[in-house]
Amino acid sequence: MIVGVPREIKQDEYRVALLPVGVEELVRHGHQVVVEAGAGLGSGLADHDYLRHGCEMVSSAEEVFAKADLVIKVKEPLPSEWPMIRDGQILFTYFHFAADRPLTEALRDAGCTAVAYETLADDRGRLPLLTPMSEVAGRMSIQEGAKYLERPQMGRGILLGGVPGVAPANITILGGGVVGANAAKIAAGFNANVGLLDINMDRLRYLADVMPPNVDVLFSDRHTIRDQLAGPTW
Amino acid sequence: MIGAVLIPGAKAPRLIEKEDLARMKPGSVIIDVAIDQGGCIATSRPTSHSEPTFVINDVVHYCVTNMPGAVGRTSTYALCNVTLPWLLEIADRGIEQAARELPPVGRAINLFGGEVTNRAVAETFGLKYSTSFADSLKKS
Repeated sequence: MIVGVPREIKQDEYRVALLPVGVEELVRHGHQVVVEAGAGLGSGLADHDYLRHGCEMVSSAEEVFAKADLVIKVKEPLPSEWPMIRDGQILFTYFHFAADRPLTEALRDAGCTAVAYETLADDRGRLPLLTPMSEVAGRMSIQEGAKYLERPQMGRGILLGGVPGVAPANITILGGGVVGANAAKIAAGFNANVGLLDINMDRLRYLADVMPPNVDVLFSDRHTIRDQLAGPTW
Repeated sequence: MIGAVLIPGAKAPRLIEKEDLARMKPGSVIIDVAIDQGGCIATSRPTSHSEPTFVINDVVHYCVTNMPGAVGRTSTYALCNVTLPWLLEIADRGIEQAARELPPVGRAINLFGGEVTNRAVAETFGLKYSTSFADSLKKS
């Protein structure tokens, strides 16, 4: 099979769908790989990192789509990419079709096979190709929150972890799933006061067992949320 | 405040109304990670990395829709670590055999041969939902 990797063109998208090790593995399995020049640059991966493992490098997305039996991407194809998609071609990427009727109809009419990361569910209903991005977003949310609590960013001027003699920030996390649990772990590491809220008692019991002592695991209802919003007096 | 309420395939429940913001101290920050699913805070609206925040009632709102994009290197490795094994399965077996032998791959196929093969997608837009692909997997 010929596997194609175009450069992502959505604004602020710096990811790429295949690492150089992916080229090596595919080639070892007897496949060919076509990569668009510059596809990895946003992630700090140079063209020669791919080339040395035996891929073909082409200068345009058109060439990738024209050659590939299977195109692997990160984001859904944008309208400029729709005309490149061929009947019977396999696309393996995030689509989120339910949020985008024109995308759904265009790709249906193109006759491609759309294999969506977001609905690849295991037998327990988990979504293994969504989980890592939820982990990233959850952990990153605390980093961003810390930044925007700074006064020049219009924030209150609070250091997340406080200092000896001065209280740390209070962080409330609504939802104890993958995003919330990862946020809580990083927030706790910053030494913030953390409230982690969920409505699933089994999940709360689990979180109470695994979270550090500066995370209060709380049942979520309207009153708890309001109390958390107000926070302690300082 | 971190909004992390994500229900797969459904709109996020709204847990904070505009009047609730008055309870927060000036300069507080809301990060609505659920913004891709509509957000769980009434005052959220999608933003981008070039202009990530806005202020309502003295509360800073951060509602960037593709947060992982900004830490592209970490995200690329995290994503490719989990996609590569499935990519190899599909490339090695071909899509039809992979879908037949690996149920997660079958569930991931949203469109096949000009038809919508994911029930939720078809129902969302009132499009025809095709079971012919799923049926063909069972027979063979």
